[in-house]
Amino acid sequence: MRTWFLLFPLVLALAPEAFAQARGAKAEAMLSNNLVKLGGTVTLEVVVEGARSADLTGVPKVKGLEISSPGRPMSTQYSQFINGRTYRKSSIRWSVLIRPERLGDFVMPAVEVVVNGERKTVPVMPPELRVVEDMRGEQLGYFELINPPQRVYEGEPFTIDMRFGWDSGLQVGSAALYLPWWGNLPGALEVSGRPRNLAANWISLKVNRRGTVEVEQLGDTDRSGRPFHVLRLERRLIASRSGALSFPQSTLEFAEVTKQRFRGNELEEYYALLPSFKIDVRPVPEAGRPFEWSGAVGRIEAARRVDRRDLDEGDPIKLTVSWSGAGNLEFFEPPDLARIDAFSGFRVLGVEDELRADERRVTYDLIPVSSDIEEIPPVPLWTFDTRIEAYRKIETDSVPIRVRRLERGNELMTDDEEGGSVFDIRDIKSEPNTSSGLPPIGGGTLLGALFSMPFAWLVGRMLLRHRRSDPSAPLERRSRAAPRKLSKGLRRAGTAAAQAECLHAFLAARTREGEQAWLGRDPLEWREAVDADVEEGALRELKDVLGELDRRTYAGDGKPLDASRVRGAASQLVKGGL
Amino acid sequence: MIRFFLFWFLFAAVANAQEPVQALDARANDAYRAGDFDSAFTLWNRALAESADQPEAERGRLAYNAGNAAYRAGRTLEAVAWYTAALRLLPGDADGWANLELARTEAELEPADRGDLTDTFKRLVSSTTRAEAEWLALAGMVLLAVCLAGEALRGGMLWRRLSLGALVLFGFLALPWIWSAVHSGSRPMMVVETRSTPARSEPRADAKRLFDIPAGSEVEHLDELPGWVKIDAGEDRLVWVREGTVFDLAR
Repeated sequence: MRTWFLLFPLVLALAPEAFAQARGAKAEAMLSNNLVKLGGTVTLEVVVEGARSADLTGVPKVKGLEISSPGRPMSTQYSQFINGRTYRKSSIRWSVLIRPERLGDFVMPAVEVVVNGERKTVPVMPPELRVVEDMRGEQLGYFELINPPQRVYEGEPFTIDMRFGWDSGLQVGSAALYLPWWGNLPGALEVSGRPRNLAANWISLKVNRRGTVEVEQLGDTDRSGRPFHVLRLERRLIASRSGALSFPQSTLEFAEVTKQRFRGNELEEYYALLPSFKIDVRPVPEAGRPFEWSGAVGRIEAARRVDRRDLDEGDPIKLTVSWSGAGNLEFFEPPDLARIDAFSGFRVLGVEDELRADERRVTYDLIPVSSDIEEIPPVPLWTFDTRIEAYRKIETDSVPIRVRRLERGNELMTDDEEGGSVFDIRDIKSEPNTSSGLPPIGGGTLLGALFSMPFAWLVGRMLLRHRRSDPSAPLERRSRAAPRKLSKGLRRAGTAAAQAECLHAFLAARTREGEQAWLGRDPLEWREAVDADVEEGALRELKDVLGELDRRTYAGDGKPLDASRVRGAASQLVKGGL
Repeated sequence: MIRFFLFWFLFAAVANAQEPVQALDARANDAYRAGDFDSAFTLWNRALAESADQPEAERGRLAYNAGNAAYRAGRTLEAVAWYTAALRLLPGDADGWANLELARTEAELEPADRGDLTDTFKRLVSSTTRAEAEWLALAGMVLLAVCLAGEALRGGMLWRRLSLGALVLFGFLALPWIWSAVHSGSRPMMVVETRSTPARSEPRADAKRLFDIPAGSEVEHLDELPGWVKIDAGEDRLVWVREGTVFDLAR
């Protein structure tokens, strides 16, 4: 009850704000512009104010408009203190980019927002969007495709050669490309193109607002009687599946500097469009496909080279085969010479595969196994030739070689001829192994010992503790350590008094008594008193030693007694039963 | 005269039947060196059959030699089985391991010791003979007993820790013994048929062919009938296979 009484004012204080948040949350969606040039973009801003939580569940889909996903919202909060009252404001904001794909008037449907868990439909203001042609942009700039392929085969590489530019008289402040298919074209893979022309000028352009791309400057060209500054962007692709490859409309965005100011220039944006286009991808035919075909497609040529042609038996020779041309050089499996009958006279030691910008180079390490071999046979490769639209075997030329016979034939090669290897089994053991080794103990014996051991340990432990005290007890440990401590003490003792002190400590530890128990005690009387089972002779010797030590301490010069006598007396006592 | 020949014939027959292992071994050696691998194999096989009273090391040697003869005769898979059998008798034999791995490679089987943790552990605990494993366990047990006696007599933390350490050490030392004890009752066999070996539900040629057992697989012997062997092919698959297709690894 008392707790409730304390919490009540807090609830009263917080409740109005909570109610106000739920009641006062408002959402709106606005277009940055209701008129846009084809190629340009507008932004749809969705703002929710005064809400604890909000979520933009879906952006509208409109045919002819490319609407980006909303991404993560931007959240802002601030407080104001006016006339003694605190005002808090918060807003959550999404920015959605809209890029028209065609001309026309579009009606923007409402967006759906979940505010504080409640679903709300927010109309877009203004609801209409008009897309107009950028007449001037089309006049001042251009964007075109050079010799695009109409159809290709699956696996066949093709080049997309894009040329674009603007009027040379234009002072262009910025330029960028929008290529919706860039890095995101289903059914196609980008592969390395031809080597970069280092003599040409290259500039960097923004692409898709995210990254940059290097484009080649081709200089100025006349178009319709006007000079244009021309740029080129080339991409090499391979179709990974049959069907149609659709390239959406691409845009060149460039901006003319209309007014130069100290703090940033004024720019006029223009757009040049490359219409969408398609490439038909045909499957590589199954009919007539040889078993040896390993995926090579295109117009491929083969060449070969060897590092030497005159060699001895057993010497390796490097055969380098290069495949070049307009084909998928990186995607086929090079021939395995070990599986080709014509190469049965060679042993293939290794293969080095190297992909260069314009050729696939495979180096085979071969060893001719006989001096009868006179040539390296042609290396075949089955390809699907897209020019004749049929499978074709391309072969390298054979290479004449001379293999000299060695005086002593190569034993390794002889083994190879028989299909063996350089490894062989170890020889038989002809000497009888008469060592009988260790005699077996027997599992039963071991098991018996294993199980009896814990019992023996437990029983022994209990008996010992029952008959004597716990060996781990401090008094027992002190008693066991007493001889060691006595020897140590005697080594350090420089006077008879110190020796007496060590001996008293030893006796007290052995009889499990206090440190001072043996001060002034007569050993023989003690024996009688406690009925100790200690040898009398040992006690007499102890009595003598103690007496001598007392005499030296109190009546003599205090010189120490011979330590061995003290140790001997102690040892006698231990042996005598102390 | 007839009596003499009869006596001589009987004597020769008995002498032949009881030809000592050493003589068979010597003849097998000669045959092997002369390149007659089939004869050498037969003789070592006979020597092994008659060497039940010989030490395990000697029987392991004979099995190893039989493996070499099978290998040289071109029966690589059978050689794998012989080397495996030899290593069961002579677990630490480096030559046996070398030949086994080579033969397995040539038979296109996985290496016996792939070098991973499981195989290394398996090889470690199975690298001793049964007697060696027992003595190793006993050594660990004696050490443990000494430490326990010290703990009982003297007590104290040191002896307790020593006892605990001795217990752990005993655990390790006893692993080969435990391993051999666990596997002592088993009778492993190896599929030595190079083609697939059909596993049938009953010991009949027309019984249902349940599945094929790949060459080189190790299976467990359960029972046998003339011409047929019942095996456990793993995963509780108890099936019958033809007698000649499996090789008894317990020699």
